[in-house]
Amino acid sequence: MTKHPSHETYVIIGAGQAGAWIARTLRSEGFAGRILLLGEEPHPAYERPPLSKDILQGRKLAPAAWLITDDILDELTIEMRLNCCVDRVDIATQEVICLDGSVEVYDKLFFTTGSAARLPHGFDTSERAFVLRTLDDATAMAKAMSQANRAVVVGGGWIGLEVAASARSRGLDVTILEVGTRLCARSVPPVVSQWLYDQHVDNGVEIVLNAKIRSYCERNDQVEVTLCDDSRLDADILVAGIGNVPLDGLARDAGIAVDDGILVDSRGRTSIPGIYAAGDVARFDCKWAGLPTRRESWANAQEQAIVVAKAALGHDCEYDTLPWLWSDQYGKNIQICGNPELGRTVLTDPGVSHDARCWAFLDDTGRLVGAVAIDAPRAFRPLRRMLQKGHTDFPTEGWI
Amino acid sequence: MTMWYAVAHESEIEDDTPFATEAKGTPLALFRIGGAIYALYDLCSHGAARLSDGFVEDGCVECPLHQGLIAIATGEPRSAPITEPVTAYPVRIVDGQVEVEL
Ligand SMILES: Cc1cc2nc3c(=O)[nH]c(=O)nc-3n(C[C@H](O)[C@H](O)[C@H](O)COP(=O)(O)OP(=O)(O)OC[C@H]3O[C@@H](n4cnc5c(N)ncnc54)[C@H](O)[C@@H]3O)c2cc1C
Ligand code: FES
Repeated sequence: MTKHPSHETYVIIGAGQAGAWIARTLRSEGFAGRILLLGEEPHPAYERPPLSKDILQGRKLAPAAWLITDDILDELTIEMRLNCCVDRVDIATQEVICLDGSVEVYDKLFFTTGSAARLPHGFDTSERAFVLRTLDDATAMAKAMSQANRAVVVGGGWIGLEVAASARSRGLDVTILEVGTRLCARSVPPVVSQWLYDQHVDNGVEIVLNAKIRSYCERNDQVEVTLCDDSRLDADILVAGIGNVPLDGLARDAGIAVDDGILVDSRGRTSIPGIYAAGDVARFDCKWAGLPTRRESWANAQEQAIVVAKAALGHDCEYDTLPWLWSDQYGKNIQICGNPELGRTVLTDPGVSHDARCWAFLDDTGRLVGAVAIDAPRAFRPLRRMLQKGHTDFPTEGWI
Repeated sequence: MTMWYAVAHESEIEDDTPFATEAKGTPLALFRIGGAIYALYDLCSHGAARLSDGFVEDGCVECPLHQGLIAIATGEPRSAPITEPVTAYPVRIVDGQVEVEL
């Protein structure tokens, strides 16, 4: 294994989930040098999943959601600078230049800048119009929700659905506008989209599919959304959840190869030696998708970061964890693994309880490609295990 | 002051299957590994999940929500996202009754 002299400095840009796990892992794996974590947000690293669930429902971030605390900084001797936006990276001089003018010299550099919420065309954020990415976004949205009666959510993906579920739990009337023909179409097959649709309708949400939006406008404390068929919706708050864009501009400007995300290999190495990336911002060779992929999930941010930190220290490891994500809506836990969107055949586990579901998805050749479970972790786990181990010959017996 | 509480009959605790019980209002997850029985506080230190709904493997319990691993014998964290230990309680068997001290 390579040596890591204790006079080296490793700088991490982005104090989010992936950045925090890189910092922690570098130390737990024996790196003795200086670790500097730079973050633009005013808060130390935290997990984002509770934002659309706990925070929007009026609860606080649980202690375990804080990934970096003062105790951890002390214990692991990690330096962290918050409210610190990195403006430029000079790969020739190995310098990181911050907006406040400070300059740091690195021996190795990690990009964990994450992604930002995509803004719909013509949509400006305001005290009534929101996107959801940060704790501050969520706190402001929760406050607005506590005084609102009606919400319009643009986008029927995971974030939009969780916002809708949280708004319903606070008693707001909610309409979801989805441009596509079904919910979460990019990540799950139609049977799951239908299940999600039914859940939301049963809980009183109005869903408009194929909704083409012409314009947004704010008037008299109200937001107005006009659709292309001239119909109009008014609401007290408007939320857009139409996907994310990777924050790869800093890397691109530095001369690092990017293509809708920073391009990395299975060890997180970018096109420049000594520079790595992980989390939402990284586009990596995903063996499960079979092509360079960017994953925006909690599990990817954590697992990829841990592998990349180890690989940067010279460990022989590659990131090949099975894609896995979850969502919580109306008290139900939805888990997804593999690439269910590639499934052509749906099999249902008849053994799970009435309100639960477990689906296995097979491709054209009958191989298992993904699974989705609703409140059924016990039925889901063997499928996840089979996929991770590459055992895709699926014994269909007992499934319908 | 701690006391011993009878929480289950020994025969109820099977290998590989956590057993949910409680003592004095404290939720407990019991596990059997290689003849010995262990008791953990029945709440994951990362979130709102019951360890008694988890999966036993290689001396650890895997959380059913986010797959974090906890050592059954000690309650120590074994994999991300778990970073804080879970309380492990002393266990003894008296006349076939599993007793836990808390
Ligand atoms: C509301 C919400 C709910 C979610 N729920 C789920 C869920 O239920 N399940 C699931 O699997 N996933 C969920 N996710 C996705 C998951 O949280 C993300 O994939 C994960 O946070 C990505 O981690 P990251 O470290 O790559 O990016 P982030 O956590 O976004 O961290 C990046 C950090 O870098 C900082 N930064 C960016 N540029 C600079 C710069 N130039 N200088 C300094 N700092 C910079 C940013 O301010 C940010 O703090 C959710 C995401 C959101 C927003
Ligand atoms: S709640 Fe147990 S790992 Fe998250």
